Amino acid sequence: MNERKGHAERLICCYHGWNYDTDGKLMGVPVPEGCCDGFDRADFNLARAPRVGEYRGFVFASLSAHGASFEDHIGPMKGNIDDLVDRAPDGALALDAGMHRYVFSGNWKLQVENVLDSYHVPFGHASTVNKAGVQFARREGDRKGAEVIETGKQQTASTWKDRKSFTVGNGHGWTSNTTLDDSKRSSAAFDEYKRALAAKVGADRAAEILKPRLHNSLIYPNMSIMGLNIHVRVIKPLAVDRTEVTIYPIRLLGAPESMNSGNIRLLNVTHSAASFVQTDDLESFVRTQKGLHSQQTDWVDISRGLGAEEPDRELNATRGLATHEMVVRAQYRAWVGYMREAA
Amino acid sequence: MATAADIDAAPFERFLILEASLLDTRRFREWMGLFAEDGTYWVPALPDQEDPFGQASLFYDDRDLMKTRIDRLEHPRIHVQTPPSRTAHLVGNAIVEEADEAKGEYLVGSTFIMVEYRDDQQRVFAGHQRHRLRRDGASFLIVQKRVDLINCDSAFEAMAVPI
Ligand SMILES: [Fe+2]
Repeated sequence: MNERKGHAERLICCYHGWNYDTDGKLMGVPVPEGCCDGFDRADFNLARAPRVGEYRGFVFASLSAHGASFEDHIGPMKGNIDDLVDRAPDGALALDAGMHRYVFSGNWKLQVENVLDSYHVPFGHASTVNKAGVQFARREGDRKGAEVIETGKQQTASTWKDRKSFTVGNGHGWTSNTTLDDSKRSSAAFDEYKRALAAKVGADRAAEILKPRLHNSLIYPNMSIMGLNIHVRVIKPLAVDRTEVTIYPIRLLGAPESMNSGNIRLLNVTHSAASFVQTDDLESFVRTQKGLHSQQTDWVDISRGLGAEEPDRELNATRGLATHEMVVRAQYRAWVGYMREAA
Repeated sequence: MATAADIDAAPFERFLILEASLLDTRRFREWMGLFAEDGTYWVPALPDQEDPFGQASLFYDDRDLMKTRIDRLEHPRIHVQTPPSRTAHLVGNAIVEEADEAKGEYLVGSTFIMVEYRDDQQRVFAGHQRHRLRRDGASFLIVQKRVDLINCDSAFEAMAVPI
């Protein structure tokens, strides 16, 4: 497909004009009299993903006919998807607000690890923190008046040490958040949003939805969602040392446009290729990849918090500190499993 | 009233060249000083993007965000600027597209090329820019700078300095 978006009834190959319907079925072969006897169009349909599953509007595809079922793979993360989608007063999201696209010269796993890595924040993102240890104010000054996150957040190492991380198998995981509390947020747009949500689901349920439970969720191996700083991220390996990432701002359907536009603007600052936050991560990925080429050292230590994991019966998960590396170990355990299956 | 086409573009072009030189010499705070208090700096992420509110943008800074961006550019531990970028801007083809002499407001279109070198890599940015300017004594203030990169919707490696 040459255009990123558009409308078409047929997909027509530019070379010999073979054309397909939007289901990938071969509809027409120009000059059919040249075809051999026994030529059957049905043999030449476009490739299909062998397995496709959908949950609350998110479509997942597997290019393998084998492996864990959709339910077994995504099931443990459904609550994290709910956490995001339930924030929309109309119970649905729109990923139609454009996208941020960035690339880096590093392995895809560097980005995947990073999504749930809280250990790096005070160091990797030092440039966003002032001398008093306070991260830049993300306050909105936009003409529509949305104020998406409170100012004055403390992001020193000590404030991160109480955050938790969780794993549920399959490489999935998430981090909790103790610094962003939607129940304490207030601005004209956010208050209007809270009223809209409460009007749809009731005040008690709205309060429950806005509880700051999740920060980043990783749906292994290539997708993350951020409920409080609203976006979905898809990670695509291009080569062993080259990765492309797409980040979609989310519009919560039923929320005031001023709140959605505030979120879109916030994401420019946190996750665009020119953002204050993502750029320092990208630099870290590139330097790490260079370091990994070294033949002189053969260690990559991910042992922080080894043995400190504990069961969380309420969430049916394993819990550790967010600044530990339990989540990273879980990712590599899953990865080694997939590599063994494939071998 | 003079129409935009009658207005000599030279003083505007001189202003654009001054702006480019502040960026190339990393005098970011002085660069910010060219913007009006209500000024904005916008780099859309889509060709012909209608506004910065409904769609993602590469940059959309008001003065507050611009200040935060520059505080960070001056921070000793901004990894993505260690070592710093070196840039060279070339600005040309300036045309006064709209003018309101009574109000002292002008819309100036131009074409630019910026070459950036950092950490053994060189890359090129190019596109069209539009400056909405307000007369301020003998010079101008930027009410909005909109930069339309010809590759605005492609995937970028980290971009740390304004274009
Ligand atoms: Fe980070």
